[in-house]
Amino acid sequence: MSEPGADPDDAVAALVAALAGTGYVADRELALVLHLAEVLELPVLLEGEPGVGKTAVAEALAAATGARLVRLQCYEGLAAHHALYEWDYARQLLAIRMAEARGPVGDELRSEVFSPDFLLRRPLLEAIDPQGDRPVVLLVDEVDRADQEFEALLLEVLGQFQVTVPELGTIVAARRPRVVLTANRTRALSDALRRRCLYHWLPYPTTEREVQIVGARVPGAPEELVHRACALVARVRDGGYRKAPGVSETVDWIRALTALGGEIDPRAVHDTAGCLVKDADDLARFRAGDGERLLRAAGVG
Amino acid sequence: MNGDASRPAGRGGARHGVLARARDARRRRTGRIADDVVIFAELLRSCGAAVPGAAPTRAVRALGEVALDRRDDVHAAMRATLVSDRPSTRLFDLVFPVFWSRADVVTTAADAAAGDTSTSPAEAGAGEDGDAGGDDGRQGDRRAPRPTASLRRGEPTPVTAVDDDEVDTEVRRMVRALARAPGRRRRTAPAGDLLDLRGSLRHGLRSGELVELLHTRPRPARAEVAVLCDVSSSMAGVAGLFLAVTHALARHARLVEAGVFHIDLTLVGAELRRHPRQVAVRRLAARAGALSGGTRIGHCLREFVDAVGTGLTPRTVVFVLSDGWDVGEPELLAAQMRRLRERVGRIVWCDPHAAATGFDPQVRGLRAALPHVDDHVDLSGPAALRGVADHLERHHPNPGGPHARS
Repeated sequence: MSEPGADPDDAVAALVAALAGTGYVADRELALVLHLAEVLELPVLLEGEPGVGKTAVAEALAAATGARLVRLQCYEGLAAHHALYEWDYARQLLAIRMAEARGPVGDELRSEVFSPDFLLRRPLLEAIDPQGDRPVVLLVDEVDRADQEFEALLLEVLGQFQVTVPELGTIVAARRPRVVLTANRTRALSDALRRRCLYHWLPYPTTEREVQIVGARVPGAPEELVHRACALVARVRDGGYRKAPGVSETVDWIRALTALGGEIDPRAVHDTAGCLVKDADDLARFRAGDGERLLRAAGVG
Repeated sequence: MNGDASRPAGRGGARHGVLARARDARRRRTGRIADDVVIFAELLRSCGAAVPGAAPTRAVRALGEVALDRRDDVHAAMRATLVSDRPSTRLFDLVFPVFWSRADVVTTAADAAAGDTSTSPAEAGAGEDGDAGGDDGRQGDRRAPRPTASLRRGEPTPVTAVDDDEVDTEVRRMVRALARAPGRRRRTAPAGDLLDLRGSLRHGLRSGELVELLHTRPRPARAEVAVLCDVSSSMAGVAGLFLAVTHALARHARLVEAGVFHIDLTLVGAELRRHPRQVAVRRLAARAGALSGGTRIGHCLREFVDAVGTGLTPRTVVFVLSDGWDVGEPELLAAQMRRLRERVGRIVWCDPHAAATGFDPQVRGLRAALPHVDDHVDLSGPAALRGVADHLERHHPNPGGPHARS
């Protein structure tokens, strides 16, 4: 806990500003959670619909704090030797062969072959024992895609911030990295993992905020276009489409509209619908008139 | 029972009950933050939110870091530290303004703003616990599938004697048969297709030299299964078996989600994982007995797909255990079956009357659903379970292929 004299108010506002400096428009709630994660030294678990910028949070946080981003993309079958460390077997074999060629080998070869030189450092080890002085932001992306067994491994690392390599001993983090985990809810995460994290649900941004985000990401877009487009996107999200567009889709779409002349009319919307609506049935429905109806509604509102 | 059985419902009577509880808890506030946070955490738990044991401590620490006069910050800080999943977040947002209401920040004893003070927690909970009786009609209005709904204390359906070991054996065979698709994890195999350098070197170091090269091959991925079990009155005779099979599937396969339905859907995945067979079946059977209404399969399917959403992938195998007796619109059922079929790899419909009708169903609902079903199998009794396992072993198209999951 920091001393009571420190003004937490400033820290959160400063973080919002710092994130904005990197082009990420964060609301105060998110910045507060990130700030708490820093002072309480806890990982943050971010959940939210696809495309709301969960991964971008970690990238922006790293950029804003001058830290290095170490990213671990999770997938099915991810195992300890992909995530923690692995010995460089090919080089080890080579070293053994060369030693044999030089003459009889003894026990000292074993300690030589299992030295840090032959260690391939994977993201988790890299985050705990970074090479260089810069602080680290560890992003464990889409943790729900990894197997449940991997979650257990993660618990150990996130709980103690240490990694044990049998041949070398235990490596303890000299300085705890900031950790951001993201999940899409493709499977239920274990309670044990949730318990160790601060939890934040990242919703779709409000229209107002989305306008700000687009403004930061597509500086050349006409203001009128951005307002109307964002209003339309909000309606598409409420429209019961199978795949609701994320923020990245909005940005791509407005980029496309800007490239086509910066006009938002039924014709342009029809032509660029594929940037926004990414499902065959949704697209057919959107082009069959639903898009035009939503555009009219958005134009009035 | 309330502690884990009732989860945030967020609508209608349940919402009212939650708010009443919050008001009641507010009266117990002491004015000291640490104590109040603990009372608040207890309140959240009693409403069914997942609040980890260490969370209140952490919340108090977090409150030390935020400006207490900034209400939004306090709200966000406590939410991030106290609750840890989405439904609990919603519940938190509902309860927070009531418990920490501005009106009585100073004078905790005064309760003028509390509104209907006559509502005792017991009464308030009644709507949720469902033991008030006579609210069968209202049951139909509840749209949101609850993660784990309350249990009705009616006459439980007598659960027919089912041999647990037999169910386990056959269900394990079924799950194995479905797990043919190669996964991305590998295991050592003499004739594998990839060299296992790590294993070879470790093996070699033990003996001093590298003579034997080990290989690996993909390990079959565990089957991903979603289960929908009909517990309406028309299923009474086989309910025990069906629930046992549902439980066994949940335990042996990788369960995406499970639901039991009659006119409404209840998601029971967490409950099935948590409780052993006897307990789980008893609790689910208790729910089945109290209703004499029909089944709205289409409606329940829609809720299921909406709720599970991205959990359903081309690798998922969906088991529907139902006789297909449907009082809803057949068009809705067909449309929802199509929607489900597009998302998952395979749909297996276990029908208790399939053998009796010669796989030519007479009921309207099942007729509407069948075009979208991959396997229509008979499950009229424990003996038929072996037939289902045989069938799945004989027919095992790779659902979606090994890399279909995007």
